[in-house]
Amino acid sequence: MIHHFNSINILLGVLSWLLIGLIAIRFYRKHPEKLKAWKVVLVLLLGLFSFTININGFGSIIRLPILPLGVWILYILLLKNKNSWRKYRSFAWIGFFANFVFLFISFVQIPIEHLVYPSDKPTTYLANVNNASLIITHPSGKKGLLNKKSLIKQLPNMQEKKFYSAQWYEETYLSDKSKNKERFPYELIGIDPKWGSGLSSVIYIERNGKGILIGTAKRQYYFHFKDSIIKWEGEKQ
Amino acid sequence: MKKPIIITSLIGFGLLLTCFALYWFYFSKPSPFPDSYHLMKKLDDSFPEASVEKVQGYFPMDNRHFFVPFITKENKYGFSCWTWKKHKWELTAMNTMGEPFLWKINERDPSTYRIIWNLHPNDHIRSIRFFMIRDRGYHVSEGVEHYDPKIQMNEDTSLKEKSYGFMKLPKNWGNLIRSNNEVEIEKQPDFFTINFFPRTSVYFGWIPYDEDGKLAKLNNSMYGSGFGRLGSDLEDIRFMTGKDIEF
Repeated sequence: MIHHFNSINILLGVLSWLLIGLIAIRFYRKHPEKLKAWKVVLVLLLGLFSFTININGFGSIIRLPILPLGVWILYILLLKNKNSWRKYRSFAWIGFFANFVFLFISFVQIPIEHLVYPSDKPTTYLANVNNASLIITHPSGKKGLLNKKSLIKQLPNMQEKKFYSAQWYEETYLSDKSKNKERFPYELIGIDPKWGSGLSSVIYIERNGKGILIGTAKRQYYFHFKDSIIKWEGEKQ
Repeated sequence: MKKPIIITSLIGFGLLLTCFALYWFYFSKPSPFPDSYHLMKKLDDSFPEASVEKVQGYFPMDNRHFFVPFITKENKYGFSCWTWKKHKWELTAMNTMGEPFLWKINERDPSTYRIIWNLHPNDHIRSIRFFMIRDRGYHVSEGVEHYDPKIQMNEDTSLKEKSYGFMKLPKNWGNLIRSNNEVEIEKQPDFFTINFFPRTSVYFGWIPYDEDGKLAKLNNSMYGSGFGRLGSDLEDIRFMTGKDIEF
């Protein structure tokens, strides 16, 4: 699990804080009076606190900050100390507007992530198959081994195919009643996703070795291809 | 000038004390496991109704967890689980009926899971087939299709002359549980409310066989009266019949 972190998230997060920090430093330097650095930091963090509303947009929920609660709290705290309020209030506002920086970055993050870690390409989830192996997860699966060469060769060209889950479910029960054959009796383990993608997956292989069902946190993807990626026992090479 | 020194040293002393207490309670090395006599006494004290007659032995699952099967005065075969917790050996589970249970010593690590049992010799069980199953399923939401292939894996074990036994999970079972778990954890949207033990859809089952390879009758191990306190670490292992198994 250690390698399952999202590098884009971290990178953009660091960039956002860097930007906010630079703005704060500029205000700090430009201020005619001497300000205490630790107070600036504290006020900035307080300014982040805000009231947000959730609105539906762009396919997910956006948390839009509308009330600068942190700024108002600071104002109330410094009622008796108008001088301090005057000195530090701009940093509280910077803190509040930082929320918008984060919001903007979160919009930018999505297309960047899709570029670097395309969620609809199997190579994102199966970046490293050197330690990969097959487990037979259903007794109807014939004994066999993973054909790594075949998998690696076909990965870049695999096309997503639509499937109907109800149909697959019914299939098992419509055929021979006494022996229920599972469509995906194998699971692939020991695979690594692209470094820094933070995308874990569960990968099932079709019983004829010519299909994979990739289950991710968001949804499942089904890929069908020409050559089997399983070497069955007793088969000629 | 004296005041700050007194305050800092008091705080320092307080911190040291806290660290020591934490270590003593949670991280100290276990003292030797009690012998059969003391185990019996502790079992009697905690559950006099069980009327434990004889402790059959004590077996370490790791250096902080022990499995202790026993026989009661009413000739029932049961088991107890002991854990080194808060600087003492605590009785964390017990059952006067010894059908198999899954002891999840560390829920997040399937390699620590142990299947434990103590089956009555009068049931003449010679071997057990354990199953790990995830039912087939499907659903569609907002046009997005989802299919769960059926998982059904089995592992056989033979009972060696003894009524009790314990077993690690096969390595592949652990790999499966782990990989499923990773995706489940990732599904959770908020880091601050993250649940590292997401509910899994995987369950366990067992079928006992007698010396002729036929289904054993569990008159003594499962039916009849008994009681237990299972705690939160033990999970049921379902008794399966031919109808529940595919292929």
